Amino acid sequence: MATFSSIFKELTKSKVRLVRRLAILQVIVGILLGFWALFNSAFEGESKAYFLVAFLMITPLFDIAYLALSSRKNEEVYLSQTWRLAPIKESSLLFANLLSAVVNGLYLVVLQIGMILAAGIPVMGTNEFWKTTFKNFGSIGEGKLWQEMHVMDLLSSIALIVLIGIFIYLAVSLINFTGKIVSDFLPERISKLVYFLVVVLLGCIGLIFLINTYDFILTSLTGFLQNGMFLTTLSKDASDVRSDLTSNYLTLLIVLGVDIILVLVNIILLNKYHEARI
Amino acid sequence: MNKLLEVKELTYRKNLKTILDNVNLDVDSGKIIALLGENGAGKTTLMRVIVGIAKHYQGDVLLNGDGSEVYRKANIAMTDNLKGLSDSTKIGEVEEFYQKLFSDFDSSKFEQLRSFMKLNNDMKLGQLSRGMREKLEIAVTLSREAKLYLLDEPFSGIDPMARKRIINSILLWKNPDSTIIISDHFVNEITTILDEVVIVKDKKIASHLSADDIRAHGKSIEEYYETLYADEGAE
Repeated sequence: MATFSSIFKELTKSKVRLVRRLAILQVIVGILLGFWALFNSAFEGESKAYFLVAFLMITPLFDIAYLALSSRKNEEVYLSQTWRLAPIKESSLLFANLLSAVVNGLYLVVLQIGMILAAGIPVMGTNEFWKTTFKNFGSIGEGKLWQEMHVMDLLSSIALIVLIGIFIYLAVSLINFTGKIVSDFLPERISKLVYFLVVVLLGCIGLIFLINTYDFILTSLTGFLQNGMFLTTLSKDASDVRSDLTSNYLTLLIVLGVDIILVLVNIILLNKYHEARI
Repeated sequence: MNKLLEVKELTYRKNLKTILDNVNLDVDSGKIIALLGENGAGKTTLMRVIVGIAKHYQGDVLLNGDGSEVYRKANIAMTDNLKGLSDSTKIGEVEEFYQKLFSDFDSSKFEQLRSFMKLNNDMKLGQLSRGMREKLEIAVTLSREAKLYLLDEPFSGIDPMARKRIINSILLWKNPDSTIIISDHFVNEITTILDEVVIVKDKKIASHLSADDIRAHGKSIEEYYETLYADEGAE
């Protein structure tokens, strides 16, 4: 029997190529955008900060691209005979697949932090940058930053982002599994149409759910960051703004609960009904 | 003789079609068995059910008396088209993949088989011709020390000379206690190594005989197979 760690390592390895390709693409796009902005004075402020601004602008787009592409990769694993032949429980395959996508996502974030730091080198040589930094981070010298830093809230904000990412992976799997299983039980001539209709229907339901919960989740995320450090300490007037901790942690628990339910449903579908493609 | 595989009252349906209907099959250890049948007869489906990756079935599939899917996957080596790995994966990496996932994978045996199949570790999957890819599939499958090997049309893309060489060498790579089930259209090329023949027809096992019994009736395996299907044409 294969171990969880061995299949997790192989799945991580298979997805790390995607991360590297995206990172290389981001470097190229960031540099091109930076040069374009430089020659056209496209951004406001100090021109030495243009590359930094360019990288900060495109980073969320590449994160979304990673989420979409890695989600597709996850589904390919479930449909692949090569992976499904591995002697491991279906639940372990699902967890290893999810975890490998999350770990690679975090790896992409680390690479992006490196890119942003590198893009910030030109601006770091300016007096203006250090003046602004000292002004904003003046509280470090006064010891305020460390006093006001709430590690649990910071970690909770990261946990909330990861749980939302996991929710998206699980929701995509649920839609894909349901579509495939329903189409497997119907005549072949309409199975592709039925698969398409089920995916569109469930996709719309998922999208409506996300739109309705967007504000709710964003408020909690901002709340965690406010309490955690950034917004209260870095903003002069915001030191008194304390978000409602209870509702933030409630959001975290609700997302966790939804993720657990989706995991259980997906395990049942994968275990009992979902087959790999020939 | 030990009963290695028991398939009991197996029925498999997909897309409202019955693909296998009340199939019963017992297989002993240490045999080489041909699984013959027309295209679409259900040979691949039967193999997928046996190994544990096909789900919508009724009935029992037991390997050494154990019906769990994980046990079957751990002890049955089935040829796979390796489509789950990217085209940029090198043969050396395929070996690593198998080594990590299957505890019974024997790297030294793979090296011998790789060299026998004239495959290079640096070759990428995307660069391989159909025949070379099939050779790799056979090499990784036979490199496992499994109890049961399922070779699903393993030679269809391999040139006749290499095919003959591989078929003749299968006995060398096979553990005496393990069983190999080969599904193939090239009946006459594999007859020399066969112990038993299983013919799938009309969603059922139409015949399961030893190769010696068929020969004792004065027929070659190919003739017997053709006669069985010709009966249908005459009806």
